[in-house]
Amino acid sequence: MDEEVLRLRGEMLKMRMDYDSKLRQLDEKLQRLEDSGADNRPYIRTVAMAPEEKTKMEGELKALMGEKSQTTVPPSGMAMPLPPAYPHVAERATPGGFLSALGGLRPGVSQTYNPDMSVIGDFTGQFYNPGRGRGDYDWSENRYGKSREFADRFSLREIELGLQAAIDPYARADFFLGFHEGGVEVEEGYMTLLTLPKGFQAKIGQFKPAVGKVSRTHRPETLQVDYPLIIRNLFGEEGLRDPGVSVSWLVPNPWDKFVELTGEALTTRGMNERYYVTHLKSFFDITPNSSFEAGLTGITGRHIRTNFEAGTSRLRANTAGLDLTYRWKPITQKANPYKSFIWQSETYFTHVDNIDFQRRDPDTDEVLRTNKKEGSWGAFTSGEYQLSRRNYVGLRLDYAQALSNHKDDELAVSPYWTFWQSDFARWRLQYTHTQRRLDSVNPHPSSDDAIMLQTTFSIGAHRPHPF
Amino acid sequence: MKKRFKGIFWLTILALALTLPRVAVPLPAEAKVKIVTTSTDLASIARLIGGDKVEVESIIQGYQNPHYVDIKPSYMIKLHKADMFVKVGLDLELWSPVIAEGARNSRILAGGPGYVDASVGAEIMEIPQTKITRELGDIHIFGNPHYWLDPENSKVIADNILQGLKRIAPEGHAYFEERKAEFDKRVDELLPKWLEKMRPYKGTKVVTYHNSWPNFLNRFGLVAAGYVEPKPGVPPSPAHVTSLIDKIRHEDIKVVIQEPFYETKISQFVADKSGARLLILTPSVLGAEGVNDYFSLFDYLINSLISAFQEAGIKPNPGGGAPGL
Repeated sequence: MDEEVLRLRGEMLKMRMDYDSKLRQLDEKLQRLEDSGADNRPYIRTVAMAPEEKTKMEGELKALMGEKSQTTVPPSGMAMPLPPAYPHVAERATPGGFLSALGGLRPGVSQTYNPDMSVIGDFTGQFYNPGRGRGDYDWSENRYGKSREFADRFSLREIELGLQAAIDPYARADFFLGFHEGGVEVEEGYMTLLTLPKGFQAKIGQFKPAVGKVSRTHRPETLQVDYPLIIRNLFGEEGLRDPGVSVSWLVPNPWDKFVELTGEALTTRGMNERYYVTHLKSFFDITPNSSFEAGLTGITGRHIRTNFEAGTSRLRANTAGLDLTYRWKPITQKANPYKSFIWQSETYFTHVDNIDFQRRDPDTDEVLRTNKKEGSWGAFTSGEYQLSRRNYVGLRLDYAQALSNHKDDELAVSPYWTFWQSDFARWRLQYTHTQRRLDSVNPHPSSDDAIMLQTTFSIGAHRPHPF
Repeated sequence: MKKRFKGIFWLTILALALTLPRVAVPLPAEAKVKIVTTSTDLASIARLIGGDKVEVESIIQGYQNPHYVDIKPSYMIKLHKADMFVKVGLDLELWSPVIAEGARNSRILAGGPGYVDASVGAEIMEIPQTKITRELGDIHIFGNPHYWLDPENSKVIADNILQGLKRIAPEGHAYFEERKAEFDKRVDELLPKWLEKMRPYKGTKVVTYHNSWPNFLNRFGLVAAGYVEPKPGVPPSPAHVTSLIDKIRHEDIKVVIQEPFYETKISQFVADKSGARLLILTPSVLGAEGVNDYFSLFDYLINSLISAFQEAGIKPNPGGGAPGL
């Protein structure tokens, strides 16, 4: 009996609270409409209430109050039914429900089919001392005479426009257009086939090939202001991005670990040159807080950037790479949520066929030529530690041999500090000290120091990237 | 040298291709339905509906912040073998589409038979009615996604899971229906008891760190008088914190509520300076000791709040309702 009384009391109370809650909401809504403009929360209508709307609202309130008077005092001994589990499907077209989202009840639903759009601005200021430094020899183009990118000035290095959406139930499309000082370029534009059987997935279009880990990240989103030296020397300041076909396969294995094999065939932009990429990636969680990823890259064909006087070209080469990533980010209950650490390292060995480099000595203007097979290598390692919710510090060490002569090399150290203003705006200050030997031109080692400031800011909906 | 590189290149591909027939093991004919959920709350409800015919796994842990999750490839492996994928929806898990697409499993992609958006039909609060921008912080355009904190919405979530199970495993139709009816009955039995316990504190004002409790507060008659975050997702500023402390003192607010996955120092400061108590409350199953399923989550939340109210010296009003209500 006591149980029954308690249950009935509870049911009555629940109904009363429901109605009280609705009344309170309506009261608040009325009040806010009267105080239109006083509150900037978006879910509160701030336009002034029209007289007819006010009359309608008062009518709703009266109806609700009448309903309340009928239902809060049930006949003695009669069990009050609880509200239905949820309203009938037609009534489920409440704001936020599926029906309302498609049914034209909310403003702007015609936009639903528009792709997710984002714009990322990447502003940099790069200042070198002494001024010549890397600029004497454009390592990324493997020739002399071209100045380094955006040196000794402020620059809106890139505006990246991203357009991303599902094409149909089987595929999605991703477009990234880069607006540079030199014009507009297609950074990437590809379709991904999502529903292939047996763990396969395919990508067709122009994309960043599966080379290591860092070079696949768009430059505004990398951990440092610039790509590591070895990436820039082999594949250019912005890494490789070419049209082609990519097929990846989730390799089944007895340990249920993530193992992905990717094979790609690409042609260099605007040229009839081909190269092939394969990448094997393995990822596993060490603990709930930490994970390790290892990747092997193989590239063959014309993929090494160079820039002869006759025009931009690619050198035929074979390249092998290894990428390793360790990540620690505590998710356990008692750990500080704003601490994390990431270590990334990559190394590449490349063997270039029959190099015919042309180098112009800046002092004598003499053209130096080499013509031989060369092997060279380079690597970087970086660590970044999260100090607090918004602050990160990191250090990157770089080593890269020149393609033409393994006696020519660069060694750099780059400490940096990153401050996240919010999830959508980031500031970064990086210092880089570089020592370089150009034995083939100048027996005396040279060095330079660079201060780099980067501010990256984004608007719109940008999909998060896989770890 | 060139030949050696080419040899390595092709041998790698060949070696991996040869592993395929050895490791591709077919699933047993009568395997349980594999359900992967984004949150532990959905996992708990899915277990209650699916019973012993399902295996359920959650991507994130109960003590994790569902807004920020690293997109680990290991999550893709979980979804690769899943028959069903249940998500909170309303853009709470912006990371989930990337994981789902990386899983190479067309069954659990949006529109597939195993895709379940648990929010469909739920009572959603704070749906923007005007144009929103990021000036306003991290506003969810489809409304506040913490709707599972209203037990009434759990019946809608359970129904969405039930519909998914009927699509994936129609042979278990009657079994799942029966368990869903039991679930609803249990909610209908427990909710009045929870409401009765909270009735003496109806109208009590609280401050929360993030605006993640509107459904809970609304259901149980509590009032959010302010937030430690000045705007959703924006870290507190000194000016805002000072003003909040002033408000707490002025309105004699006794309790500040915060989830375990945020840093506590600012909230503790607010509590210390204002004389309020800081109460760390998990909003999810398995987020605290003893919170083992969806029902024990509400036992925990209500008992914790009542204890905090009592310790803070809030006198219960037997008639229900704060002065003036």
